[in-house]
Amino acid sequence: MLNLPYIDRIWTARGSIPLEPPRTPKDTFLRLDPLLDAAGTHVEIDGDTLTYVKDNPAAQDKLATFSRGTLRVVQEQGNTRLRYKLTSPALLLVFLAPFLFLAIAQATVFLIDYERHAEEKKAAEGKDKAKDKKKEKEPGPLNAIDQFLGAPAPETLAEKKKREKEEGTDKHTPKPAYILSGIFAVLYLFGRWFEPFLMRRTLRRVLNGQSVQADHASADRMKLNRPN
Amino acid sequence: MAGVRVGKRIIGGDSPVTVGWENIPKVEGGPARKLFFTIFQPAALLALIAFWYYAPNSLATAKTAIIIGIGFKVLLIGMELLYPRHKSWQLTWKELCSDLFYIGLGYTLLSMVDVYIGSDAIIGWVQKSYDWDKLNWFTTLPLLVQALLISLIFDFGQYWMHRGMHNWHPLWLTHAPHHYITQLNINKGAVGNPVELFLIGLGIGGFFDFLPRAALLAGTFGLAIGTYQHINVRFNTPRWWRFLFNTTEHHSVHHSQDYEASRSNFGATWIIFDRIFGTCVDGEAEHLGMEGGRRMQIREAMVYPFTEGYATAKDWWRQRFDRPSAVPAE
Repeated sequence: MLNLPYIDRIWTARGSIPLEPPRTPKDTFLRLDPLLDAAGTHVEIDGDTLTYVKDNPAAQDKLATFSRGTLRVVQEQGNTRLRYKLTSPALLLVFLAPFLFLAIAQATVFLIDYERHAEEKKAAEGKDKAKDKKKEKEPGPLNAIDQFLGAPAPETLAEKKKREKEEGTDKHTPKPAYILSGIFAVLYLFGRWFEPFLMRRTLRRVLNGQSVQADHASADRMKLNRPN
Repeated sequence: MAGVRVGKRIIGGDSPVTVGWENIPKVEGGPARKLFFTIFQPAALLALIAFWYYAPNSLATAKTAIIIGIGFKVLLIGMELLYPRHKSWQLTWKELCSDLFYIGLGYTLLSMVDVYIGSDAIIGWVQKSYDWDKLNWFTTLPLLVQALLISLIFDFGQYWMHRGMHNWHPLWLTHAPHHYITQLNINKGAVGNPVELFLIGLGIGGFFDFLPRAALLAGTFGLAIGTYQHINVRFNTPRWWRFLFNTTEHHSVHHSQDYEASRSNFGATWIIFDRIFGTCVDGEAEHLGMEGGRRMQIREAMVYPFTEGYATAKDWWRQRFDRPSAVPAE
């Protein structure tokens, strides 16, 4: 990933976790094994720094969102801490998704304009589609069983025309693309807060020994779904 | 792995598959929870049918169907988050975003293309070129009979389209990305290559859209039954329901890592066509996907039919026409 200060906050999570009791880098990194011992994970340890890259992590991998990261054991004011910088291509893509759907919405608007002009041109040339249409008939009555059960009668031609007029005649609409753009914007904001929160909680549990066994078990489960 | 013999086939030889309803776990917990997960599916189906049957014409529109569809799926996502069937299928933020991207393509680009070459265009063409008055008797049938027939006709087409995808390589290339999903969630039905989604749309689409209320009722079968195919929630599904309809258990067998199991349960809403044509396996599986559970990323899913199609064609050409230019020296 590119190194772009400030902008990289879009896809990067930074922070630190106190190590209690204080531990050596080797001991600390050993505790991260349940998170890193998976197929497609490349780990490099250089003294007090661990760097990992996960190539296409499994859906349930606890590092699936942050598939790259650098973790460093540091001494600060007599305390040992793990400093982390985690990067997430997933966060970046979700950040960009609203722009993609806005572009699709804009393309739809252009297409609607194009279709309207084409229809007007056809109408002007006397090739109006309406002339080709068969004359619609009023719908017949409902089956006697439906009438007995009280189902509403089918809409009349006048009602249908009124509805079609309200709905408009355009074949396309940019509305879904605008809505999806909004949904992805909300998902990004939620994910930018929630995913670093989950990551921090996982690191805390693994490093400070609250549920190392449980995480070992989940790592074993993950391995079942991985290619060799 | 030994597997279980089902007809002439061994199911579960490559990857674990539970065969037989008697071997499938039930919902655990208190009586209220058990009752809820026993009656939820039939109650929701009945409620939705009653709504579409009695809704005034001003409400019985495609727009309302979309709103109800989205609302129902949001409710089911909530149930997945609170009561997951398998922890290994738990919906995560990343999976949700990825699934929604595919859904987004369906609602935007795919529906745009559909107007010109998809089911919308075919329906328009057929309606223009055929004398529909001959089928007027269909509209005189009771609404629920019409809806049932529409649903069965669509599903019959979809069964054969889906079975074709598993048996003819060019179609399989479009369907394969969908089989790389490693877990089932409500929105996983939309995950796949757009070409496949377009083809499946053709299977679902049909020529009977001249019956608005019956078509909406038929759509309700898809929503209130077909949606459960991909759900990560355990229900105590009634015996009659799982005999007639496709369930998440059936569909998990279809998505199993076991090759033979994946060639079962091709139906969408109904499982009866699988029963009739001998492809039904009653059971469930947890380990899903292909290549040992490798997750396919979006960019690969988008190009897979073309890259794999090119590679297959190249191999075929080489085997048929290429001869070794030189014999290596010993």
